[in-house]
Amino acid sequence: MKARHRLVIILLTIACAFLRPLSVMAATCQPGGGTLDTQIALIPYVGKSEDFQMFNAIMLRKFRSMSSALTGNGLPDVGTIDLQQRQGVFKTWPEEESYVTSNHYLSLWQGMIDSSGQPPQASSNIYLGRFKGQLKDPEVTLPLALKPSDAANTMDTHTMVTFYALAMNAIASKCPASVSKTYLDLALAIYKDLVKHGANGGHVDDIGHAIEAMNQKATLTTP
Amino acid sequence: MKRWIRRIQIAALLTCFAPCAQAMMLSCPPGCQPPRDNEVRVLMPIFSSQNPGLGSTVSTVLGFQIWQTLRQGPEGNIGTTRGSVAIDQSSFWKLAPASITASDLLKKAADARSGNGAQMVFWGDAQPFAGGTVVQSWLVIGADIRPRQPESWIVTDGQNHSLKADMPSLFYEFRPFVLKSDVIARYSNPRGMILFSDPQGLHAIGSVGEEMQALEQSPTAARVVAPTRTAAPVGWIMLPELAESRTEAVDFVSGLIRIYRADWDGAIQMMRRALENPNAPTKVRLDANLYIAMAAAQKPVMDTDTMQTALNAAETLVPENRAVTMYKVMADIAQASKASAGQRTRFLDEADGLLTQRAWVFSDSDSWLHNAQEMIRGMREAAPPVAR
Repeated sequence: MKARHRLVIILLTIACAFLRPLSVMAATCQPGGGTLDTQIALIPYVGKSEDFQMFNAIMLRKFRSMSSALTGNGLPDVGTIDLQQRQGVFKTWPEEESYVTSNHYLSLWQGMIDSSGQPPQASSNIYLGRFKGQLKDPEVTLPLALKPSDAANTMDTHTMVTFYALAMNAIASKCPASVSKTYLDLALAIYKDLVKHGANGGHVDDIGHAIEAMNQKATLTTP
Repeated sequence: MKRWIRRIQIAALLTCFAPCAQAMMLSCPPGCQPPRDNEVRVLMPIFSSQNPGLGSTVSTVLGFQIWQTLRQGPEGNIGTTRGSVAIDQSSFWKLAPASITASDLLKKAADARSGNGAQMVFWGDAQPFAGGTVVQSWLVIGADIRPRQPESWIVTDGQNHSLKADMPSLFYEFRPFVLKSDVIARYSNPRGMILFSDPQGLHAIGSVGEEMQALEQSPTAARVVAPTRTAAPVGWIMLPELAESRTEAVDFVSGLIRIYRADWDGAIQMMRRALENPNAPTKVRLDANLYIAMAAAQKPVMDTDTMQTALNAAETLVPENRAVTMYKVMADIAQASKASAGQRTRFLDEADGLLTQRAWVFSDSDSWLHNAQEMIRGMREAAPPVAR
C-alpha cells in the first residue's frame, strides 16, 4: 500500500473518531441488555447569557457530584451525566422527539430567563419523550431560581427529573429491576426534600407522583 | 505569582483511659508520616471560591467545628483511637471546581503531602451572598487502611459464621447553608488567632502561629499548645459562635468520625443532632438512621429499641431501599446471634423472609445477598433444633 493511501486511511480513521455518533456515549446494563443514554441536550436559554452560563456551570458541577452516587452495587457504569450545549430551536414535541431519539439523548432542555424584574423569573422545559414513564406529557416545566440561596432547589429539581429519566431508560433497556429501583430511590429522596422546602412548583409534584407510582415492586418487576 | 503553601493541622488525641484528655499534635510537613493504625482523619482542602481567601476561611471554620466535636472515647472501644482534622490550605485545584470529581478528592486524601491516608474528604464551594457566604459542601469516603474498621458492620455468631455490611454510601451532598459575615471575619486568619492566658479571653499573650494542639475544649474556647511559639506556648483560643452555627453537615461528618472510632454512644448522639436539623437532605437522614441502628446494635448491651426505631424511620423515608434492607437483615442476624434458641429461629426467619421478599432490589452480581443467605443457613445448621 502506498504511503499516501496509508495516510488517507489514518486521516479518515481520525475523522471518524471525531465524527462518530454521540450514541457511543452510553452505558450498558449487562451483556445482551440495552444501553443507557447519559447525554442531555442543552439548548441555550432565551435571556441573559451570563445568567444561563451560571445555570450551566451549576448543573455541570451538580452532575459531576451526582455521578458519584451512580456507581457500584451492580449499577451500569454511566460515568458522568453529560450536559451538552447544542444549537437549535424546537417548538413542537414531534421535533423534539425526533431530535432526542436520533441522537440518543436522555432529555432535551430548553428554557427562558427573564432578568428584567427582581427576582429574575426563569423556567426550564425538559423534554423526556420516550422516558416519560407515567407522566401525562412527554415534557415538564421546572422553575429555575437564580438566587444563590435557592440554587439548591434548582439543582435538585433538575437532578430529580434526570434520575427519573435514567430509571425509565433502565426499564426500557430491560436492565434488572434493581437498577431502576436505585435511580428511583435517589429521585424519591430528592422529591421529598423539595416538598419539605416548598419547592414543588411547576411539574415537580407530577414528577414526584410518577416517581412514587413507578417505585413499586409490582411495577418494576413486571415483565 | 508566588505560591505559598500553608498547612494547619489540628488534631486532638482522644480516647484514652486517663482522666483527662491528652493532646497530640499532628503536624504534616512534606514527607510526613501516614496516619497510624488508630487514627481517623478528615481532610479538608481549601474550599473553592471566587475569592480564595474566602474558601480558605470557610474550610477553617468548618474544620474547627468538626474539631470541636472530637472527644474522649468511651471504654470498650477498639484500643486507643485518635481523631484529626487536616485543613489543607495549599493551592490545590488546578481544575475548575465544576470539573472536580470524587476520584480527584480521594487522590488528594491519599497524597502524602496533604491527606496522607485520610479516610474522608470534606470539601465544598463558598460564594459571597447578601452579607454572608453561601456554602455548598460534599463528603467523600475513601479507603481505610486500619486493620480494624468499625464503620463496616460485621456480625458473627461465634461459630465461624460472619456477615459484613459495607457503609450505605460513600458520597454525600449537603444542603447549602449561609455562614454569617462576622463568623467569616473572625476566622479569616487562623494563624493570627489570638492566644489568651485565660478561658474568658481577657489577657492576650500573642498569636497562635502555624500549628496548635488541643488539650481541652469547651463550646466557646479551647486550651491549646502552640508549639511554634517560643514563649508561653500554652493558652486559650476563643471559638465563639462556632457551636451555635454548626450545620447538619458538620454533625453528620462528626458522627461518622465517631462511627469510625467505634464510639457508639457518641455516634448516636451526633447522628441524632444531624437528624434534628430540618435542612438535612433525605439521603443524609436515611443514612444517619442506618448508622444509629448499627451503633445501637454494637453497644456492649444491644439497644434494640433505638435500633428498631431508627430502622423503621429509614424504611419510611425510602421504602424497600437496598441499604435499608441490608441493615434490617443485619439487625435480625445480630439479634439472632445473641438470642436464646427459640428467639434465634424467629429472628432468622424474619431475616430470611425479608431477603426473599426483597431479592429484587439486589442485582445478580451483588454478593451480599448470597452471603446473607449463607449466613442464615449456617446459623440454622449450627443451632439446636427448636419445635415451632
